[in-house]
Amino acid sequence: MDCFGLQASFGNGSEKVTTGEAASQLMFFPARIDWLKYSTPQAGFHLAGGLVPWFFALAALLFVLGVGVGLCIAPASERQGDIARIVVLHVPAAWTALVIYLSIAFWAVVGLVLNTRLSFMMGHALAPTGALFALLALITGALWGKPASGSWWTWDARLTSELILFFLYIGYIALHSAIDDTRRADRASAVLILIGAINLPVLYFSVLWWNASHRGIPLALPDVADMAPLTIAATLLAAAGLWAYGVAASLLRLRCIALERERDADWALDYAAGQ
Amino acid sequence: MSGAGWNEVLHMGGYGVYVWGACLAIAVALLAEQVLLRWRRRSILDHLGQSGARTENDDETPS
Repeated sequence: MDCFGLQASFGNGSEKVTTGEAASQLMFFPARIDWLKYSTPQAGFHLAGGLVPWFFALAALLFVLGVGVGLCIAPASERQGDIARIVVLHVPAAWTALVIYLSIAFWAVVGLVLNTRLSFMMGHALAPTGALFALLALITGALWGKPASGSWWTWDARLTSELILFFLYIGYIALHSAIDDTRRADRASAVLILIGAINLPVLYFSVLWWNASHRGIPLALPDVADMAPLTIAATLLAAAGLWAYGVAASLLRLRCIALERERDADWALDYAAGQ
Repeated sequence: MSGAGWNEVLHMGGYGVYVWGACLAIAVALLAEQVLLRWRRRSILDHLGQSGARTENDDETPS
């Protein structure tokens, strides 16, 4: 707060000149003040702790509902039969891997521009979960590909860019752990994630650009026409569930990272003593 | 759902191994992640607890 001089001008009522300026700042930039309030590791730690149970509950509800409807209630695909039900597992996992990468890129930009420690921590809290979902997208994709097209793997654009996504996650995590100076590691890995973001449009639009059907598996919107409405609804529910899970797992990891990096701070020692 | 219905769902038109295998892969992966997170949290809390206790002992040491 006090880095914008607000506390000083409001704390002392006799400073008539600056109060007006500060009030106009408050009116026009309220978001700025809230952001700063939550940008310290300590504030992030406690905020995350309150949100985790809600996101886990939301994740369990949406994912079980989506998968239940998709596997047990929705009609089988006319073209592929029951194997296409795997869409309610595969597509949400692939979307989650993509969305988590986008989130890390967002926090990398915020961290590089504003130099806030919590932003970099958010990136590294998200990365292992993103890598896990990229791997799950590859595994569930192979489990779909084998019976549907006869092979576990082909080097088509969609599969290859999904594999590159997985390697980018691993590279981001490995680069960070290879540099001892945490702040330097934060910046280097943030730059890597932004360079790797070039893979995202390739991954998303590969189905359209290379005119490959991705074996009839939808991810880009034009392909959705092949699916039954109930299957689409189930896929969206399961995807929302996995996103909520990703938020919950990342916030749990954020709490670990905040404690690890702030291990000399009083608040961290106080918290550990209370556990 | 009747017993035959459940069999149908498990069998998945012959693709049960693939579909339920994918389900199992996701369940195992997410559970494993939660176990690892719990270990990580426990380990940092233990570490902080030890250094917290050391700091208190240092404070009590007469100078």
